[in-house]
Amino acid sequence: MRTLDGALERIYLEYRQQLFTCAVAITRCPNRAEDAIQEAFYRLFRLNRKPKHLKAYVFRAVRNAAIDQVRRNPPLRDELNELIFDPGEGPRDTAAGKELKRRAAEALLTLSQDERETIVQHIYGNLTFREIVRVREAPLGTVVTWYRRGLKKLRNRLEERA
Amino acid sequence: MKDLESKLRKLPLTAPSRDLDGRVLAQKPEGPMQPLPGRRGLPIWVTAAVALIMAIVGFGGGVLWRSEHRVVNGGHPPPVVVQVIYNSPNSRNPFDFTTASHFFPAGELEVTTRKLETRI
Repeated sequence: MRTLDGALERIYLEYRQQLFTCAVAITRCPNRAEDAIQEAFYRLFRLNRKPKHLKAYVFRAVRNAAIDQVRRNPPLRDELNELIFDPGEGPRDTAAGKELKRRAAEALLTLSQDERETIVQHIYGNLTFREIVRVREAPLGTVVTWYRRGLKKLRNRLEERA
Repeated sequence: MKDLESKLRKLPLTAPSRDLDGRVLAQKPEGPMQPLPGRRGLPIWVTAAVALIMAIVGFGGGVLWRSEHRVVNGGHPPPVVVQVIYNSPNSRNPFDFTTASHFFPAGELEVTTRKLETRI
Protein backbone atom coordinates (compact mmCIF):
# COMPACT_ATOMS: atom_id res chain seq x y z
CA MET A 1 0.00 0.00 0.00
CA ARG A 2 1.33 3.42 -0.79
CA THR A 3 2.09 5.61 2.19
CA LEU A 4 -0.17 8.33 0.77
CA ASP A 5 -3.14 5.94 0.67
CA GLY A 6 -2.50 5.01 4.27
CA ALA A 7 -2.26 8.66 5.33
CA LEU A 8 -5.47 9.50 3.47
CA GLU A 9 -7.29 6.58 5.06
CA ARG A 10 -6.15 7.69 8.52
CA ILE A 11 -7.29 11.25 7.87
CA TYR A 12 -10.65 10.04 6.57
CA LEU A 13 -11.27 7.79 9.58
CA GLU A 14 -10.18 10.50 12.00
CA TYR A 15 -12.08 13.40 10.43
CA ARG A 16 -15.02 11.77 8.64
CA GLN A 17 -17.54 13.49 10.93
CA GLN A 18 -15.88 16.90 10.52
CA LEU A 19 -15.58 16.51 6.75
CA PHE A 20 -19.24 15.54 6.56
CA THR A 21 -20.41 18.50 8.68
CA CYS A 22 -18.33 20.98 6.66
CA ALA A 23 -19.69 19.52 3.41
CA VAL A 24 -23.30 19.60 4.67
CA ALA A 25 -22.88 23.28 5.57
CA ILE A 26 -22.25 23.89 1.86
CA THR A 27 -24.56 21.40 0.14
CA ARG A 28 -27.38 21.47 2.74
CA CYS A 29 -28.09 17.91 1.74
CA PRO A 30 -26.53 14.87 3.49
CA ASN A 31 -26.56 12.71 0.36
CA ARG A 32 -24.81 15.35 -1.70
CA ALA A 33 -22.31 15.94 1.10
CA GLU A 34 -21.48 12.23 1.08
CA ASP A 35 -21.22 12.27 -2.72
CA ALA A 36 -18.80 15.20 -2.42
CA ILE A 37 -16.63 13.31 0.08
CA GLN A 38 -16.61 10.22 -2.14
CA GLU A 39 -15.77 12.29 -5.21
CA ALA A 40 -12.98 14.12 -3.40
CA PHE A 41 -11.39 10.91 -2.12
CA TYR A 42 -11.60 9.34 -5.56
CA ARG A 43 -9.28 12.13 -6.72
CA LEU A 44 -7.18 12.16 -3.56
CA PHE A 45 -6.40 8.44 -3.82
CA ARG A 46 -5.05 9.09 -7.29
CA LEU A 47 -2.58 11.81 -6.34
CA ASN A 48 1.00 11.14 -7.34
CA ARG A 49 2.61 13.20 -4.63
CA LYS A 50 1.76 13.75 -1.01
CA PRO A 51 0.67 17.37 -0.49
CA LYS A 52 2.54 19.37 2.11
CA HIS A 53 -0.40 19.98 4.43
CA LEU A 54 -2.43 16.85 3.86
CA LYS A 55 -5.25 17.51 6.35
CA ALA A 56 -5.96 20.99 4.96
CA TYR A 57 -5.62 19.59 1.43
CA VAL A 58 -8.25 16.93 2.13
CA PHE A 59 -10.66 19.48 3.60
CA ARG A 60 -10.10 21.72 0.59
CA ALA A 61 -10.73 18.86 -1.83
CA VAL A 62 -14.00 18.00 -0.07
CA ARG A 63 -15.01 21.67 0.03
CA ASN A 64 -14.36 22.05 -3.72
CA ALA A 65 -16.34 18.89 -4.45
CA ALA A 66 -19.22 20.19 -2.29
CA ILE A 67 -19.19 23.51 -4.14
CA ASP A 68 -19.30 21.57 -7.43
CA GLN A 69 -22.32 19.67 -6.13
CA VAL A 70 -24.08 22.95 -5.30
CA ARG A 71 -23.26 24.36 -8.75
CA ARG A 72 -24.76 21.28 -10.39
CA ASN A 73 -27.78 21.13 -8.05
CA PRO A 74 -28.58 24.20 -5.92
CA PRO A 75 -29.72 23.40 -2.35
CA LEU A 76 -33.39 22.49 -2.14
CA ARG A 77 -33.94 23.07 1.57
CA ASP A 78 -33.29 26.34 3.31
CA GLU A 79 -32.59 24.81 6.70
CA LEU A 80 -29.64 23.37 8.53
CA ASN A 81 -31.14 22.11 11.76
CA GLU A 82 -31.45 18.40 11.14
CA LEU A 83 -28.63 18.47 8.63
CA ILE A 84 -25.85 19.70 10.91
CA PHE A 85 -27.17 18.90 14.37
CA ASP A 86 -28.27 15.43 15.32
CA PRO A 87 -32.08 15.43 15.73
CA GLY A 88 -31.97 12.21 17.75
CA GLU A 89 -33.45 12.35 21.22
CA GLY A 90 -30.86 10.88 23.50
CA PRO A 91 -30.98 10.84 27.27
CA ARG A 92 -28.86 13.99 27.40
CA ASP A 93 -31.09 15.82 24.92
CA THR A 94 -32.96 18.24 27.12
CA ALA A 95 -35.65 20.59 25.86
CA ALA A 96 -33.23 23.49 26.24
CA GLY A 97 -30.60 21.62 24.23
CA LYS A 98 -33.06 20.92 21.42
CA GLU A 99 -34.13 24.55 21.38
CA LEU A 100 -30.51 25.70 21.24
CA LYS A 101 -29.87 23.36 18.27
CA ARG A 102 -32.86 24.77 16.41
CA ARG A 103 -31.94 28.39 17.12
CA ALA A 104 -28.25 27.88 16.37
CA ALA A 105 -29.12 26.29 13.01
CA GLU A 106 -31.49 29.13 12.17
CA ALA A 107 -28.92 31.72 13.20
CA LEU A 108 -26.22 30.00 11.13
CA LEU A 109 -28.41 30.36 8.07
CA THR A 110 -28.60 34.13 8.53
CA LEU A 111 -24.81 34.46 8.23
CA SER A 112 -23.01 35.01 4.96
CA GLN A 113 -21.61 31.92 3.26
CA ASP A 114 -18.04 32.87 4.26
CA GLU A 115 -18.95 33.48 7.90
CA ARG A 116 -21.01 30.30 8.19
CA GLU A 117 -18.35 28.17 6.55
CA THR A 118 -15.59 29.59 8.75
CA ILE A 119 -17.55 28.99 11.95
CA VAL A 120 -18.44 25.44 10.93
CA GLN A 121 -14.84 24.71 9.89
CA HIS A 122 -13.39 26.08 13.13
CA ILE A 123 -15.95 24.83 15.65
CA TYR A 124 -17.16 21.61 14.03
CA GLY A 125 -14.31 20.86 11.63
CA ASN A 126 -11.68 21.31 14.36
CA LEU A 127 -9.55 23.28 11.91
CA THR A 128 -7.19 25.95 13.21
CA PHE A 129 -7.28 29.37 11.57
CA ARG A 130 -4.01 28.54 9.81
CA GLU A 131 -5.58 25.40 8.38
CA ILE A 132 -8.68 27.33 7.30
CA VAL A 133 -6.36 29.76 5.50
CA ARG A 134 -4.99 26.81 3.50
CA VAL A 135 -8.44 25.36 2.88
CA ARG A 136 -10.00 28.62 1.73
CA GLU A 137 -6.90 30.19 0.18
CA ALA A 138 -7.72 33.45 1.96
CA PRO A 139 -5.52 35.69 4.13
CA LEU A 140 -5.40 34.98 7.85
CA GLY A 141 -6.84 38.40 8.73
CA THR A 142 -9.84 37.80 6.46
CA VAL A 143 -10.52 34.38 7.96
CA VAL A 144 -10.33 35.71 11.52
CA THR A 145 -12.63 38.60 10.56
CA TRP A 146 -15.18 36.20 9.03
CA TYR A 147 -15.10 34.11 12.20
CA ARG A 148 -15.39 36.94 14.71
CA ARG A 149 -18.03 38.81 12.73
CA GLY A 150 -20.02 35.61 12.25
CA LEU A 151 -19.79 34.65 15.89
CA LYS A 152 -20.89 38.14 16.96
CA LYS A 153 -23.90 37.97 14.64
CA LEU A 154 -24.66 34.49 15.92
CA ARG A 155 -24.58 35.65 19.54
CA ASN A 156 -26.83 38.63 18.78
CA ARG A 157 -29.30 36.36 16.97
CA LEU A 158 -29.35 33.85 19.81
CA GLU A 159 -29.76 36.56 22.44
CA GLU A 160 -32.57 38.40 20.65
CA ARG A 161 -34.50 35.16 20.20
CA ALA A 162 -33.89 33.92 23.75
CA MET B 1 -17.58 34.61 22.87
CA LYS B 2 -15.80 31.67 24.54
CA ASP B 3 -19.03 30.73 26.27
CA LEU B 4 -20.93 30.69 22.99
CA GLU B 5 -18.16 28.70 21.32
CA SER B 6 -18.23 26.04 24.03
CA LYS B 7 -22.03 25.87 23.87
CA LEU B 8 -21.91 25.39 20.12
CA ARG B 9 -19.18 22.76 20.41
CA LYS B 10 -21.34 20.69 22.75
CA LEU B 11 -24.19 20.37 20.26
CA PRO B 12 -24.35 16.83 18.83
CA LEU B 13 -23.73 16.58 15.11
CA THR B 14 -25.52 14.53 12.49
CA ALA B 15 -23.31 11.60 11.54
CA PRO B 16 -22.75 10.48 7.97
CA SER B 17 -24.42 7.26 6.87
CA ARG B 18 -22.80 3.94 7.72
CA ASP B 19 -22.06 3.03 4.12
CA LEU B 20 -19.92 6.15 3.55
CA ASP B 21 -16.82 4.40 4.89
CA GLY B 22 -17.24 1.58 2.43
CA ARG B 23 -17.89 3.97 -0.45
CA VAL B 24 -14.84 6.11 0.31
CA LEU B 25 -12.35 3.38 1.19
CA ALA B 26 -13.39 1.26 -1.79
CA GLN B 27 -11.92 3.99 -3.99
CA LYS B 28 -8.38 3.12 -3.02
CA PRO B 29 -6.62 1.87 -6.12
CA GLU B 30 -5.56 -1.77 -5.97
CA GLY B 31 -1.79 -2.31 -5.81
CA PRO B 32 0.89 0.26 -6.44
CA MET B 33 -0.22 3.21 -8.53
CA GLN B 34 1.14 3.55 -12.02
CA PRO B 35 2.46 7.05 -12.58
CA LEU B 36 0.59 9.02 -15.19
CA PRO B 37 2.29 9.16 -18.57
CA GLY B 38 4.36 12.30 -18.81
CA ARG B 39 4.52 12.64 -15.06
CA ARG B 40 7.35 10.30 -14.24
CA GLY B 41 9.07 12.77 -12.03
CA LEU B 42 11.71 13.60 -14.65
CA PRO B 43 13.58 16.66 -13.36
CA ILE B 44 13.04 19.76 -15.47
CA TRP B 45 16.78 20.33 -15.85
CA VAL B 46 17.13 16.94 -17.59
CA THR B 47 14.37 17.92 -20.05
CA ALA B 48 16.04 21.29 -20.64
CA ALA B 49 19.47 19.68 -21.18
CA VAL B 50 18.06 17.16 -23.67
CA ALA B 51 16.30 19.97 -25.56
CA LEU B 52 19.55 21.99 -25.67
CA ILE B 53 21.58 19.02 -26.96
CA MET B 54 18.97 18.31 -29.64
CA ALA B 55 19.06 21.96 -30.71
CA ILE B 56 22.87 21.96 -30.97
CA VAL B 57 22.90 18.69 -32.93
CA GLY B 58 20.18 19.98 -35.25
CA PHE B 59 21.94 23.26 -35.89
CA GLY B 60 25.35 21.62 -36.42
CA GLY B 61 23.89 19.02 -38.77
CA GLY B 62 22.14 21.72 -40.75
CA VAL B 63 25.38 23.68 -41.16
CA LEU B 64 27.21 20.55 -42.36
CA TRP B 65 24.41 19.62 -44.75
CA ARG B 66 24.32 23.10 -46.27
CA SER B 67 28.11 23.16 -46.72
CA GLU B 68 27.98 19.84 -48.63
CA HIS B 69 25.09 20.86 -50.88
CA ARG B 70 26.27 24.36 -51.75
CA VAL B 71 25.23 25.39 -55.28
CA VAL B 72 28.27 26.32 -57.33
CA ASN B 73 27.67 28.83 -60.10
CA GLY B 74 29.97 28.84 -63.12
CA GLY B 75 30.43 32.58 -63.16
CA HIS B 76 27.45 33.14 -65.44
CA PRO B 77 24.85 35.60 -64.36
CA PRO B 78 21.32 34.23 -64.10
CA PRO B 79 19.25 34.55 -67.30
CA VAL B 80 17.33 37.77 -67.56
CA VAL B 81 14.42 38.55 -69.81
CA VAL B 82 13.47 42.15 -70.31
CA GLN B 83 10.03 43.14 -71.49
CA VAL B 84 9.60 46.59 -72.99
CA ILE B 85 6.09 47.89 -73.18
CA TYR B 86 5.19 50.84 -75.34
CA ASN B 87 2.21 52.41 -76.86
CA SER B 88 0.48 50.23 -79.43
CA PRO B 89 1.13 51.77 -82.85
CA ASN B 90 -2.21 50.57 -84.21
CA SER B 91 -4.33 52.00 -81.45
CA ARG B 92 -5.75 55.47 -81.32
CA ASN B 93 -5.53 55.48 -77.60
CA PRO B 94 -2.20 57.01 -76.54
CA PHE B 95 -2.28 54.95 -73.33
CA ASP B 96 -2.93 51.58 -74.91
CA PHE B 97 -0.15 49.38 -73.56
CA THR B 98 -2.05 46.12 -73.89
CA THR B 99 -0.68 44.54 -77.01
CA ALA B 100 2.53 46.20 -77.97
CA SER B 101 5.50 44.79 -76.22
CA HIS B 102 8.66 42.90 -76.95
CA PHE B 103 10.65 40.38 -75.00
CA PHE B 104 14.39 40.51 -75.16
CA PRO B 105 16.56 37.63 -74.10
CA ALA B 106 19.36 37.91 -71.65
CA GLY B 107 22.42 39.82 -72.56
CA GLU B 108 23.21 43.40 -73.19
CA LEU B 109 20.28 45.44 -74.33
CA GLU B 110 20.70 48.38 -76.64
CA VAL B 111 17.79 50.75 -76.68
CA THR B 112 17.09 53.48 -79.18
CA THR B 113 14.21 55.83 -78.83
CA ARG B 114 12.25 57.42 -81.60
CA LYS B 115 9.89 60.26 -81.23
CA LEU B 116 6.51 59.32 -82.61
CA GLU B 117 4.20 61.67 -84.31
CA THR B 118 1.65 62.84 -81.84
CA ARG B 119 -1.85 61.80 -82.75
CA ILE B 120 -4.57 63.72 -81.06
